[in-house]
Amino acid sequence: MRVLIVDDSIFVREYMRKLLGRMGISCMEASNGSAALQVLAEENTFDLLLLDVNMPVMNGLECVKAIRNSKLQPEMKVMMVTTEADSALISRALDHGADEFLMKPFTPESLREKMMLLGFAA
Amino acid sequence: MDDLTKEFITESQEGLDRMERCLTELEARPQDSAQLVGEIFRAVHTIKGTTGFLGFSRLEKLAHAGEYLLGSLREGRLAVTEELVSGLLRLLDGLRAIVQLIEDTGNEGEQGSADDKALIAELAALNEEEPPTAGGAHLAPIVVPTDPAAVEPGAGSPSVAVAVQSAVGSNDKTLRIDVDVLNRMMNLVGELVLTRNQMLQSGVEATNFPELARRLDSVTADLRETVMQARMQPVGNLFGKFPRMVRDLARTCGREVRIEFFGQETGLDKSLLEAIKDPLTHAVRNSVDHGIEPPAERLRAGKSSEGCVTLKAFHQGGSVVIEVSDDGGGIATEKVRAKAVERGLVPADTAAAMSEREVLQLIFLPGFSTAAAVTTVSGRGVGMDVVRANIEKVNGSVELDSKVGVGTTLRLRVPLTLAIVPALVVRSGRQSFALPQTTLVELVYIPTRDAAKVIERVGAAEVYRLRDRLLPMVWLDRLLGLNNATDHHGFYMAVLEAEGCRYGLVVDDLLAPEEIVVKPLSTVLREIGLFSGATVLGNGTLALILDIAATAARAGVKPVAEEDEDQVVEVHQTDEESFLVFEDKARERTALPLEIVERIESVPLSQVEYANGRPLLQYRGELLPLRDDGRVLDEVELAGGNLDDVAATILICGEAGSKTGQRMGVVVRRVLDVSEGSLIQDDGAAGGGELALVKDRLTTIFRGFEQKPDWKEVA
Repeated sequence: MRVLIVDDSIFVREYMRKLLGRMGISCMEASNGSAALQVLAEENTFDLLLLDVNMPVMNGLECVKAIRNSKLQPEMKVMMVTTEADSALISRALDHGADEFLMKPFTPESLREKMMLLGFAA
Repeated sequence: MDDLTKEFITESQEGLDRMERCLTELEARPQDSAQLVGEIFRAVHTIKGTTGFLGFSRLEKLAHAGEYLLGSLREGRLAVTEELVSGLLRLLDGLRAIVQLIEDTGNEGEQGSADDKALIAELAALNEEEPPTAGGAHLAPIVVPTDPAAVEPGAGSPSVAVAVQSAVGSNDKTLRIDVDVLNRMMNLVGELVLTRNQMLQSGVEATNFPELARRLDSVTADLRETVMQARMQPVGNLFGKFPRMVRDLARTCGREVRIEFFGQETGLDKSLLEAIKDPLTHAVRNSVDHGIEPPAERLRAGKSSEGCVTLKAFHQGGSVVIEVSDDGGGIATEKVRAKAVERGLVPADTAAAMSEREVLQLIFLPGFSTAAAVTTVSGRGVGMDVVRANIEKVNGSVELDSKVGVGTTLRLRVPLTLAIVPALVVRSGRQSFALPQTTLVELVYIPTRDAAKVIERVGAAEVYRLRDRLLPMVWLDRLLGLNNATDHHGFYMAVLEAEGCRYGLVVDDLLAPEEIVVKPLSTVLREIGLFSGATVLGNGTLALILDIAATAARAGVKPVAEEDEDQVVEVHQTDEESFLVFEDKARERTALPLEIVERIESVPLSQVEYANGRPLLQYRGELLPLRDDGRVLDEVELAGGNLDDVAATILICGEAGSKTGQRMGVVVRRVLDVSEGSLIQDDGAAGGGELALVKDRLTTIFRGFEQKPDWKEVA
């Protein structure tokens, strides 16, 4: 299983990579939506996208729209990661093809639960 | 502290710096407010989003209150007003203080303190302001009040003031490096390993050993360059703090001031950046407090009511220059003169005889302050002398220019780096010492038989008459109590200058100039107080690095006295100039202005290479074109012998002398003299060349720099 972490905060990316690493999952990282699209265009082999909402250059909502409107890996799951300040955007993200969401800050358990909801055995 | 927390601190501090920049720009560029507010929001949002992971709930609470307010602002429910910006600045201070506390102590301090509550309440109150009326969709104009009484007193809580202080000294342990630089470093280390392997395999006797050594040399040079680059930080990192400071200061002083930056990308070694932070801050404060006049006064003088402080950074030679200028009232030299006399810093008659420029330099004397009234901003006792002392500590220098009614410029000049410095290695009493090149003015050879003639005694001190100036002499071996090496047929004197002292340091011998790596001293050696460091020389031996100023003080050399200064001024008032006189063609005296000659080298002919028939010299990693108007190279070569054994004398001339901006070498037969001379009007007799009278003898001035060397002619 491979995960792409998209967040402008290095701290958050590092944190997630550690959590996922403990579950034995390998990850790649991108710092905003447009960087994520580039990674996906090069290697389209991810099972899960952890996507922050508020990012510079291209935000998470625009990113999920772009992915679902393209031919990029339709079976890949997209989990929006956000704080309550941007919770209004969640339903719109779900409309545009996001599969799940996770509120920051989250514990390792809540990440695991949400992943299980998406059908990943952890 | 674990890596994640460290990453959190670095990221938060960067975010807060960005927030600070955007907040100050918000007032200057209201048209970009949407983008700026977006960035500020994201900075606070990121802190809020990340802090919860680490359980810093005090920080989270404050960030949350800020995020909420910023959210309203972002969505246009609030207008950017001055009160709002001030509130956000206090939010910034509050967040910064907590992040700093976490960095220093590992925890975030007491929950729910009165300060926190007050700040959160203030942010909430700001959120309830009236929504902007139609038409003023985003921005109400911001007016900075010019009357200090209009500014609410003591707006910031005491903890805020402390926060600003501590935030300044933060975060010097970690450094962000461009990945490209890191990759280049890795490649070079690879090269290094490769070269080492080849050397180990082939051994010293191998025919290709010289080539391998050369390669090792170039790889090391590149690696050094790259590591230095990694230590370089843009000065913009430092400038970023000033808009906020200037804004707050302008308000407390009742001034209208904007700040402008140039050359923010100029790189400076990280340790130096730290070292100039305080002096620079002080200089900017001075500009706002003492430089820029109150708005009413500016209007009377026909200027715009808003003053401007400019920070400019650029490279010059091996140094970085940082200028702090203001378009304020300038410094009235008469007042400076009067104050200096009143404070007993100079005698009245001396002060009266000083030029404007000299008077300005009095400001750097300890115990001088130009503030008409002692203000809270500049405070008492901390003056320009501290600025100068701090800059000189890192081998830098300070200059001041000012024109009444037009403005003042303070120029800080610092070396690019402290870790590796060019130095001249000398020997005294069978030991090696390194003298930093920045302090070296010139070198004089004194044959023993002339010593009695040229060395004079003034009281107990021995002095040397160098071009009509008396130079105190310091014998290094005597000063250090070393055994005198006896079999002298002559000795060398290095003319050195540091902290206003100029003296001749007598040593037994000069070794090569070298780029030395400065190593710190052990306590035992440091306590001697004469050495600033140690280094390992190219031949593997150790050398102590002499502290030039401390040596002067120990030997009792006084800073140049006022009478001497007068004497110098007089010399410069005539048209006299220093020339280096040499011979290139048979018996013809030719001269170059001394200031463009960087160095005189004796180079084995084997090192002179030819490309398309033009002579070139590989010199310190640079390919120097050679001018050989007198065909000296041919002459030397014809004299016969192994090319490694015969040498040509080459003057290395700097960019200053050349219109093409390139350094070059001038081949000469021999150097005759260094002397004062004056240019005389050209009457055409010298075939278009300029003539000078040097020591009463007619001398041609070398003009080889006017055009690019004409290769065809040489070929």
